Amino acid sequence: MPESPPVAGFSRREVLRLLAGSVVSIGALAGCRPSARTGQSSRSTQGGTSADGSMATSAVRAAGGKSAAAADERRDAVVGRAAANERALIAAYDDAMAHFPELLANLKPLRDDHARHLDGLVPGASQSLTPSPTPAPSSAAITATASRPALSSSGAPASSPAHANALAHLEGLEHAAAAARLDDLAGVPGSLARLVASIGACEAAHETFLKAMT
Amino acid sequence: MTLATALSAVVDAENAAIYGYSVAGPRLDTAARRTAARSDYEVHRAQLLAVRGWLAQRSEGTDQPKGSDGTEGPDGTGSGSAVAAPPAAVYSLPAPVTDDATAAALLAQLEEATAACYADIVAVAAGVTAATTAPAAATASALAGASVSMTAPPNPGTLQRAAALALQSAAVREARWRGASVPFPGLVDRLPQP
Repeated sequence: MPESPPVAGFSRREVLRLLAGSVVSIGALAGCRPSARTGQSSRSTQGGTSADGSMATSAVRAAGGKSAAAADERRDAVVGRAAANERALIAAYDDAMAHFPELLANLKPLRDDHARHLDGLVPGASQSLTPSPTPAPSSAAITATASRPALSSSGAPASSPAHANALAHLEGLEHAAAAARLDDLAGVPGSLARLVASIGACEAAHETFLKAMT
Repeated sequence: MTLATALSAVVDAENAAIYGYSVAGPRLDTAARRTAARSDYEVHRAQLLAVRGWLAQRSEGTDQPKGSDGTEGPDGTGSGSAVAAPPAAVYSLPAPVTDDATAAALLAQLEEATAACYADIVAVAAGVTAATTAPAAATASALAGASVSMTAPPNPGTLQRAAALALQSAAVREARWRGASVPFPGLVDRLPQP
């Protein structure tokens, strides 16, 4: 199955170090990072194995003896559902930006996250999307709020009922998407579960952003 | 990596986050932001207790999932081999925290670090007798637990879901402190930057 883009090293930014005595960095804290495996030979839970089926096989063995084909089916279904959801979200954002160009600077970065999700699930898939409008002030609005009062609506266009409806619609879609990714975790290989969970987490954060914009 | 190892890493990350919030919180500019940081700090403390409970339960049963009895207290002092390390007394910071911007940057980093550890739980739990959980049971349990479950998940299926919820919750906080959306929370350092 298509995995997230090739993983370029596992080095983590060092965030904290223990002063006295031994040194603890966040790299060490996330000592779970490198592609470790569960003890058993074939129970690979991470690392970027893709469509070779071995992970699927082991996942199924763990799941209690369904066939490898069933695991492939499950994996493909999870990827398919997530990818379809990403496409629907991208279309919804494009639609909202077309109707409310003044929201473009705020919505474009979120829309682009979904394009990345889609590519993470199905490499290259976003290239077949209709290009979204380019924001005049680039993706400024959201990034520019860095170190500003968190999630404040400062800089967001004055809200109107129409805006509020559009944003609430997107918020609902993000909420549903995050919940759907959560429901799809069980029974898929670890590396896919990780990706799907991360995508759902991004969508949960989007939901919060959209709420703050209204 | 075993599930116990991954859980220990979460405990370490939660301890670091708790420390980080205590340092960065007071440096934030507005009362609203300090209140938000205080609330996040409490979430991390609660989450630490929860994860310690999961860890204690796991280590008592080695790699076997406990039944659905899950009645042990979350005191984290089980007799198992994998016991979480105590928090460090002092941590050094990657950059001086001198003002609102540097404080928020630290908090965003800490959230990404905890998100990464929860993402690992999601991955590892998938390889440990996954899917023995009825989806309905997992759903009910996770809903009851909301974003912070104080009860030890009885098996890897619910553990995976609880970890994914914790990942979501960390991602929301990370985006808030970063002031920007993150496409792959918990995987930031795993993916090539676009």
